[in-house]
Amino acid sequence: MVSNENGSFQLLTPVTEVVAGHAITVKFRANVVDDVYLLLNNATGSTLVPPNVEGDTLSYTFPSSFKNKAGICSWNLVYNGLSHEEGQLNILPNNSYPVLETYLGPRSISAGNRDFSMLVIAPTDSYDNPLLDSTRIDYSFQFKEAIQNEFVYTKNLIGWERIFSPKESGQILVAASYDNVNSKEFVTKVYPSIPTDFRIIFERNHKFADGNQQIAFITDIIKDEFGNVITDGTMVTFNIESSENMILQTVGTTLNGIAKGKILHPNKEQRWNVTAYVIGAAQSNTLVVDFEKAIKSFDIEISKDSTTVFVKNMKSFMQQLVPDGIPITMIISKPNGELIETKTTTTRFGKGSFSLTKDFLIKGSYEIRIESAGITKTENLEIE
Amino acid sequence: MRLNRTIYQTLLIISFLALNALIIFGISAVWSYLNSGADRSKMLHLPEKLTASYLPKVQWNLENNEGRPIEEQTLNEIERDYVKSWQVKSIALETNNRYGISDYFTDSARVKLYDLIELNQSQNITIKTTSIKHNPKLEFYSADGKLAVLTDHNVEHYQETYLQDRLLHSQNSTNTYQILLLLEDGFWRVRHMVQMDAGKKKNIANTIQNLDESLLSKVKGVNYYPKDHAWDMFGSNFKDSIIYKDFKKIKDLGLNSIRIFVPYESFGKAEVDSVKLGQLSTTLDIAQKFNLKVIVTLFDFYGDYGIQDWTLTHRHAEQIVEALKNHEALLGWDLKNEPDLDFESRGKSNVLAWLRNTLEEIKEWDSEHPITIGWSNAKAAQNLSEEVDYVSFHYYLDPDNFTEVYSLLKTAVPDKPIVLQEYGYSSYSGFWNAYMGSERKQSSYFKKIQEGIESQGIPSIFWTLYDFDLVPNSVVGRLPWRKSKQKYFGLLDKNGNPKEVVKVIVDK
Repeated sequence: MVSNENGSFQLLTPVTEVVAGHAITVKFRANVVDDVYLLLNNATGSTLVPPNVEGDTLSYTFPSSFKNKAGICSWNLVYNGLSHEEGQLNILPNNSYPVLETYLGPRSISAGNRDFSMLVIAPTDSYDNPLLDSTRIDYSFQFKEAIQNEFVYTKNLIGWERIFSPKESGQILVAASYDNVNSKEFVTKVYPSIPTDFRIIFERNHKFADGNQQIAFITDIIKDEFGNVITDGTMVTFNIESSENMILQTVGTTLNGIAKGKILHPNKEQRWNVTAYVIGAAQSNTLVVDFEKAIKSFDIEISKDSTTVFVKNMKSFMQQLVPDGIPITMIISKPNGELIETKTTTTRFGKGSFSLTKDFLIKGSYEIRIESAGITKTENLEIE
Repeated sequence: MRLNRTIYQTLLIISFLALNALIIFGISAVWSYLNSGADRSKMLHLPEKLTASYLPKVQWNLENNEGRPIEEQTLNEIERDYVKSWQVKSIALETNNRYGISDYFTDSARVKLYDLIELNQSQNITIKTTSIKHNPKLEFYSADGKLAVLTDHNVEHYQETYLQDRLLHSQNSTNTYQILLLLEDGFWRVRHMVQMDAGKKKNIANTIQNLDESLLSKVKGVNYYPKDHAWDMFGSNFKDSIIYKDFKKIKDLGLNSIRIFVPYESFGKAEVDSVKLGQLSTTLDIAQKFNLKVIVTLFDFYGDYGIQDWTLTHRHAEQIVEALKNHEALLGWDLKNEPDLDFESRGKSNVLAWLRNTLEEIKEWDSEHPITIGWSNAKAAQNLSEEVDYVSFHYYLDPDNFTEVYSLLKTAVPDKPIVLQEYGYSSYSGFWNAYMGSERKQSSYFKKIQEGIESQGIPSIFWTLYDFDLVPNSVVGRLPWRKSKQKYFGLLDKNGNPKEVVKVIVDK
């Protein structure tokens, strides 16, 4: 019995534990009945409850926001600006009609028993209250033939477990259940682990450096350390180092573990060293590819008025006209070696030509050097 | 006729000139209008810098996190959103409005809040609440970084409950909660919140047990502002050379203490201006050179006291207290100057609640130095006398009644040291007091008060060192009779020359 000059109150319902959803009424015997409120506090917030007065008994019925919310609910009997009685109720979750909230992530992991998905289960009762700690949750996961049944106890509102990847790629199905309530099916994809080193071969139509055909580099089936074929679409970079120390690159993406990269033949005799990489993960052997000369020779002809230089008779390995687009370079210099100009053109119908303007070349003798397909020819030119 | 003609001529010329003047004025008005308002910095519509509006103290415990190790960035994001969830909830409960709830609570969690808001709204119940301190422990962080569980231990709250705008109840409480947060559309939203433990009232920090009363009892000092920058001594006005000279004068007058003021807003509110804080610390350094003790008065010119503002004022005080609490020159803290003057405009209970809670917070950061509240009169000084370490009051009334007023206070608060933190008399003699004031009157006022102080052994601090040229409107308002009076409370005149009253102080 708490009493003071203004009011005295006696708690008639010394309840400390209730189950969520059940009606809660707190009663007091009091000598004042006006303006006595019950202040309720829980994790959601606070409210004031007016009394139901019967004689000298005040009864306060908890509104649903408070009777349905599990956890501690504290109350103060407030009268005249003061708290005269106080107490707290431990409201327990209601175990009927539970709901399972299940989270699985990450949803894609890599094979090999190192990576994992995390299964988190937050079971709640029908009033959306988390169930008490140490609630047993069963869960199962299936991979290929194997189905495993496990369980976990909740702690800190949730139950959780790591689901490690097997060595094989594929997908794991996960489901949880509690008290005949089942979650839906969750899928996590097990992708192959990182690729291991592999080998490459090449395919080409002929061995000539004609600047026209394509050579293809092909990997064997690239696998991870557990023998899983790596994921389709993995990019493979083919790195080519030519005998002239040029770096060329082509790329391909894998399909069923095989990647193919294509590139044009060179237009002059060359040796290529080719290595393929899955960047940051794996590399191949180094392949040596030789290209032979396709164009053996050509002729230079200067027009009578010395205004045009023709490059003629460019023939490929079967005496066919060289393909269009073979680069031809003409270097004009003075006999003492002083460079005047460098001009470039490309073949068309097996020929190429350069025009020399009179305005540009003043009277005198010059040396003309033509370079194409790795062949160099020199000719003298007299301008009068 | 001739006269008439002259009159007409004069009128014509004058009206011509007047018309011209009007036209020129008109053109210039248009010209200046077209040249105003075109502030180039406004052209880009740059976003305003957001300042935090809710800053409870958050102390994380990251030990034994069972899931994935947390990244600092994610932890900051969780803290930001979690603290915001408390703020939107308090605002919602205060206004019974759903604003902002959906950003910080998941679908199923917000339904519970909406139900409560609806219930409170229907009964006209409003809850004003703030959390003061959080001690979250990270229990679990999921591998995919989308789910986290916290246990927020001993969350300190203050809450006022209103029914039809009538305050029914106010209380401090300390509760523990478990919270499940989900990362949804870039927000960490509260999914579950369960109260684990409640009702433990915060232990009201005890007053300092072994308070060195001998130090306090010897206090004989001055409320200090520099001559040319009264009520505005920090910032670009701050000159350590002036402070040095002034403190030397104070020492030469035979005084041993000063009381200075820290303005809340110009010190940067919750984000204390480090330059000004440095200047405050320099002021204490200089005081230390002259062996002067300093009472630092916080929250000068602060007048909000609103519950939603509490955490900001706490962060303000925390930064100042933490920066100065180990300073040798520090004698103690004065929480607020004359808060009783805000009782009427802000509500006595609001002011007292803020004072009590802020005082408790400061005690937590500094348990060494005594703390007081600078009440404007002896009657008001009985408020919160249990909570303060020493009681202080101001006295500007009839000196003959001083001893009586003091004894009344002493009887009401028998077991706390009492300090007279302000007293003084204006030597103003001018139009507004009919040339009735004089330095002699000031001197005799001091003499009488001094007699009382001597006989009762009261530690005292008078107002003030200098007469001031400028008194800001924010101090005593615009009224000239108040302002003029305020300018002549000094021991030294505007040129720094001693007034008659100096003899009273120095002799003693």
